[in-house]
Amino acid sequence: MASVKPLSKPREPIPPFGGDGFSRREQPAPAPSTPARWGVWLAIFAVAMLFAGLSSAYLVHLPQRSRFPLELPSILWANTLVLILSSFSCQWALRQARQGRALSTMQGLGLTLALGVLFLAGQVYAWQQLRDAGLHLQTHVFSSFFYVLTATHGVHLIVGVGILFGVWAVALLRQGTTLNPLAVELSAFYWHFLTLVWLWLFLLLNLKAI
Amino acid sequence: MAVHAEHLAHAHSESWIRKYVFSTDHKVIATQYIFTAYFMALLGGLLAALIRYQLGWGDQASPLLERLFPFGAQGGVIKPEFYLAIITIHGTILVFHFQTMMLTGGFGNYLIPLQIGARDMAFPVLNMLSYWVFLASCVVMLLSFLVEGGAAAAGWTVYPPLSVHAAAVAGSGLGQTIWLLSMALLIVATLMGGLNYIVTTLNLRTKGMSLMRLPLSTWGVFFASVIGLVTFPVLLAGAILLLLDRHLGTSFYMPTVYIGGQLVETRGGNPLLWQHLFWYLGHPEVYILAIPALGFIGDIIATFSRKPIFGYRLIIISFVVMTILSCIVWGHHMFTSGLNPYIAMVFSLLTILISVPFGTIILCYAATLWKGKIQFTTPMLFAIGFLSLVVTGGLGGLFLGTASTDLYLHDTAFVVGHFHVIMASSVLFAIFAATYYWFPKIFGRFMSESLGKWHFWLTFIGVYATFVPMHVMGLGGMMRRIYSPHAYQYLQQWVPWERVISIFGLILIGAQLLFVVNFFWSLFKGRRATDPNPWRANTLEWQTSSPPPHLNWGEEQPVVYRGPYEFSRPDTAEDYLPQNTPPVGVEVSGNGVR
Amino acid sequence: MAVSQQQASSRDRRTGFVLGVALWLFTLATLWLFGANLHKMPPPASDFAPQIDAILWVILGISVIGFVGLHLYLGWVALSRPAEVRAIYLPADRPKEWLWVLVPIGLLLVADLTFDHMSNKVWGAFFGKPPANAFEVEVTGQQFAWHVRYPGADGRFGRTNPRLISDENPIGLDLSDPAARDDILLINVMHVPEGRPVMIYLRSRDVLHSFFLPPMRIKMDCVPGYTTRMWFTPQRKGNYEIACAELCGMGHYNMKGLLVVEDEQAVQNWLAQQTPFSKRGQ
Repeated sequence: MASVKPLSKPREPIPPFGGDGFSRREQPAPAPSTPARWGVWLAIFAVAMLFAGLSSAYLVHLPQRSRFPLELPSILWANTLVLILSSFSCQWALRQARQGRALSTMQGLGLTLALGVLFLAGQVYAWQQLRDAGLHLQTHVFSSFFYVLTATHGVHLIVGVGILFGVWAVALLRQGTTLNPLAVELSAFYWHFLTLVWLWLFLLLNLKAI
Repeated sequence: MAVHAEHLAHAHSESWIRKYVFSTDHKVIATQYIFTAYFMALLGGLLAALIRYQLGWGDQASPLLERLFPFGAQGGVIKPEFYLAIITIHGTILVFHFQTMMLTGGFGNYLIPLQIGARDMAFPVLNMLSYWVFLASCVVMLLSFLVEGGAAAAGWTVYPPLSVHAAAVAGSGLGQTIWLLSMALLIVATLMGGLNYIVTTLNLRTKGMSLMRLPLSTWGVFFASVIGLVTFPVLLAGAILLLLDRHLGTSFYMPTVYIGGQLVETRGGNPLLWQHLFWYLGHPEVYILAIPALGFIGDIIATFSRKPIFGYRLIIISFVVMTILSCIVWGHHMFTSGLNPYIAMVFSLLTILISVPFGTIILCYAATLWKGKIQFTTPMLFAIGFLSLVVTGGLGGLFLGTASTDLYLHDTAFVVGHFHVIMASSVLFAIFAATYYWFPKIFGRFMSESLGKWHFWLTFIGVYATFVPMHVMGLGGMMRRIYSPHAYQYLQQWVPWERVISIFGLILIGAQLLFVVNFFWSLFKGRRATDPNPWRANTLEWQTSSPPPHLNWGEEQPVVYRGPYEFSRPDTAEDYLPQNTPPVGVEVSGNGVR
Repeated sequence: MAVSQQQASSRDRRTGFVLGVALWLFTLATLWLFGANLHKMPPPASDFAPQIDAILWVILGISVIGFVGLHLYLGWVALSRPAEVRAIYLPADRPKEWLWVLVPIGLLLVADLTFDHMSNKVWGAFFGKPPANAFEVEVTGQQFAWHVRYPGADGRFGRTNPRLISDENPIGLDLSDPAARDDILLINVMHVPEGRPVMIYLRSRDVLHSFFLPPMRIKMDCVPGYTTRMWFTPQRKGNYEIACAELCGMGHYNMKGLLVVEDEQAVQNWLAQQTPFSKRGQ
């Protein structure tokens, strides 16, 4: 490898090796962070965009809401309360997990699961009430939206129940000896996200007009 | 994160099926993506040949056509409904199943871990699932030609109400449902892939690989994935609502209409809603393609000019601006749809402003060529062709982004010419450039240079001769998506043009056979790439063997000391300086395979 | 590498020469293709047409500068002898050097804002309030025909209702509305006066259509469930074709109508000969 004579002189001293031409500082290795955490956050973001799409579709229809009567079943208020409570119990479970108390974590998760299932049952009951009132999927665009929004949220909540159940079952199989706080954290984060989505959807459904 | 030798040995002892079919190795998955996407490209190209045949010689019956398509071309003449199905599937599979998946799933998948010095993706199993869902999407889409009524025929934009009622057009029967299911699968595959690319880029960079040392290819796929994550779920939401409208009698998009001799009574739907939801993805989709294409071209131009890329940070800033702008300009597809005119003015201004970051990147690349030691290899030829095409196409965009000229040019052949230059051709050139460039890395053999150059010349001439005249026809008022140009008196003068365009279009499609031959010949008989870094490039993927070993690197991952484009430094003996070459005087314990 | 540096560089020079010449030839061919064929555009026939054409010329001028400029440069790069030994080392990632790029981009931005401003003026006029004396017509698209309705002597359009649509009543005109009695309904033919603003209300009874008048340089979608509108002042007498510009089904390519621009008096005479829809078949 023969050394090649440079054609032109650089205009200013070339930064010493180890710099990258942009900053003179030595570059450390990227901070160790958890890909799992990033992955879950981004997946949640994608789901959020799905709901954003549905919500914007709902919002552009909102000005004609008054033409289409839709009385929301009152059980939805109770469901909302149940879901909020479940988020609290989930957060409590997370705190227990971080302090390494596997048993109370399992209790907290169990309570969350129970409340989640109760919420789903309540949503089905709300559907029945609506159906008895003669409001079906096809009746008008707002009844359609009611079923689509609640169903999409419900499907994601069923996934959430499945995930929490998985974490809970693994802990049970290990007889409450070890529990991965990260798994609890990420499923709790998803669960809170679903609670927030429901609060947002419930607000939307309660809007009478913009 | 050092992986021990026993792990490496263990990983190699997998069964053939685990290794080549259900593999979680990003390189194998990327290769699967590349083959599948090229296969879809061939099908899309054949459909394009049918389109060009119909527009050039549609008035003449051809017995061959009847034999090939007994249902679609009875009497040797393509039927209008078959023509509409052809244009719909042509657009859909080339935009989504070919270009999107080739750039992100294929090359993005292959390059990201190698360029950032990682051993694999952050979520290898998710990566594998992403491919299999994509493959399912391809199969489902192609099946739709076999069902009653044929494939979807409402255009790749599938505007309702046309796409809702089978009575409106034959393809809106089962074919449209299959189209929606295929798209839903594709969206899921894209999201799984995109999530993986973002997390991998952010979290698995090797020591010393700061964000400002990432090669532009990785940046491009990263930004494309971000756009995909923001916009694809919205299209999924739209597709769910469209499916419900079609099958469960809801009316999100349907006002009360009278179609096919009967009243379809609904309560309160809005056909414009679909256009918003569709274009909220549909426009950023252009940037999902353009940004990785620009990234690949950046790497190639720097390598073959033997110069550092001009304004690396300026390019990254422009990528960011494009990413943001791309998500807020979708309304420019709807200037004549009854959109609020004030909103349209905002969309128009934002659209025109995209020319600023776009132009910045092109000029940075042009400046990179200045006083370089340019090597006109096949990838470099395609890269320069790319620059020519994006400028031609980008300037065409100014006519369409301006609201009042769009009043005239919207839905004309000008639009078709424009996006076939800026999206179809320029991105195709980037894909070809990337294929010729990274082929020795992926398969350990070179593609033939002389065949490659012939392929370039025919494609370059073909693209200009096919798509530039379409702009002129569009200025002459020629509508797009019409089955025949013969119906209108004022379009008669363009009938011979259609024929000439068809001739060049068929030459263009035929020239791709050279590529197919070259690809498969080189795969088995090409010159071996004994040197792992034949182009003398700096980025990390060239610093490991060709093809790279399982888990990419030997015992230890490489350590990065500098940016990716340190070419022709006056103080080094060679005119390149790989990112992982340790600086003089630094004790190194090991820096990967070499 | 197998080939020696010398061979490679002479081959590069040859390829570069061909590429440079090709790029310049492409530039000339493209300019010729546009220049020699722009006269084939439908001759402008409305007040908006020259204004829109003016914006087209401005953008075309800017495009020619950008297109020719870049291709001259690329061709020059390809044709010029590559550096003998080594490329110049120009990391060029300092804001001072960015100016080489940012100044031309600044000029582009100025140009952008210029024609955006021109465009907004036309846009504002097109979507603004039309003159009070406008001649009103309503068009309803169906697969694959245009139903043209004139309000008749009372100057008012009667109510329509999609539930009344049938083969005999293609746009669902509600004859119980007195304003509907004298409405004139025609198919695929429209007469409008020269020199007077024409207001067209656009509707659709089934799928999306787009009402396209190439010599007037305007189009607007017909959206079922909504009424959109367009207006223009015809400036030249003649017969023009009406086209559908939005994919509307298998007959889309053949969904054309006839627009006749003539004297105000001729239009009135012609209208007087038409039978109102309510009296048809009597």
